[in-house]
Amino acid sequence: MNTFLVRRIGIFFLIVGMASSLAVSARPIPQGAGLAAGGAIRKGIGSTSAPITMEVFGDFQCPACRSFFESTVKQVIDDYVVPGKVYLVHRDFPLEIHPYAMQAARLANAAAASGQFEAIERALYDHQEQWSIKGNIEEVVAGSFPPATFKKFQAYEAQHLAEINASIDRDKSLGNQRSVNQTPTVFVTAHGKTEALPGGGVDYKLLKQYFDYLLRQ
Amino acid sequence: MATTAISADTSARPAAWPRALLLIGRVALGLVFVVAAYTKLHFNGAWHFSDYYFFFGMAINSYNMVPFWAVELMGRVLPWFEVALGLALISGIALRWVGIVASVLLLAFIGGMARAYVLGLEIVCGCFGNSEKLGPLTLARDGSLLVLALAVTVGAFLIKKRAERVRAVLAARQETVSS
Repeated sequence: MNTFLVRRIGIFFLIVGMASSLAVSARPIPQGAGLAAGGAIRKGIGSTSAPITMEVFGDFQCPACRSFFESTVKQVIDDYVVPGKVYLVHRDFPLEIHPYAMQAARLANAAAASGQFEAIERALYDHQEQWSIKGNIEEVVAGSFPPATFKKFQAYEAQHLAEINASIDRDKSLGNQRSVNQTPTVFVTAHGKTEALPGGGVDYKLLKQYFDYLLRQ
Repeated sequence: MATTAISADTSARPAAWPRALLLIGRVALGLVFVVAAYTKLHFNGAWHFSDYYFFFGMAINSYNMVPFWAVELMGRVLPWFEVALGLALISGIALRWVGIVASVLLLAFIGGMARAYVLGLEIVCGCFGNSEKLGPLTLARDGSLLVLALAVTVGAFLIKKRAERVRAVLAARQETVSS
């Protein structure tokens, strides 16, 4: 009887273990986020060794970026980033017409330095309509994180402001160098070639076709 | 009396300048179509014969006007249609009908662009490559091209009509002389 019970408990833990490992592997591992060599802040989601890299020049206060994130990027994360086919990189391109875009970008960089870029990006876009009127970003977004984690972001931002601003400026310079004139603008790198997609966001179905085509090459 | 009328008509031989103007107009419009197609097939520094339709399809789709199957079809076909239209305009083949097709196509483009602009869509025009943002300048440029296309079409019809009239007058004169 005891042997039977022990065996049952063993099978139970085996199943729980397998289920939890499957659940963990089903979520993206933000390997690209955090601090890169040399201390630069990386705002990437997924595996850096993915065959395709998708760079999105975005502005957290831009409604078109929000719409693109909600309708396309989230699906790209689920279908291509999680399986390791696409490495998704955010590039800051805060526009002057959006008064709180820079503030949001700073917070996103601080979170990215703590390896929480995916979570802060979701929080900023999901609640964009709430904070973009008054600029009360921290008040609105804080609810998406445990208080200790959010305090860590705030502390990092306060201590590394110059570094964060430099990171944003580097992204902006790269955007200017690549003639980015609107947000969101997407660049796709595969097989050693970088292609600019039409600005203003791309429909998921078309992007999916393009990614599948690139993966077949 | 009839003879006097004929001689008065033929004395005013068709001037060369309308034909020259039509030639310049149709070649310019044809080149515009060929260049527009070129920018859809050659961009980001390379030819894109195998994947151009993804990029152009994305530009078409951003207008939110046509169903997905139409986006795919237009993305594949339109650049080559523009090449054919441009070459037909440059060569002057079936100019009246080609002019009508060019005018209708430009009218459709302008309609779509104006709608997107009024709706405040922040998208690329898709007219000449993938980097040009839709705005008043792109609307004005395509509007001018429509005026040119209409002028070429009307000019082609008028010149054809005039040529037919002259031919008829010459035939009537020949008949008069022979009788």
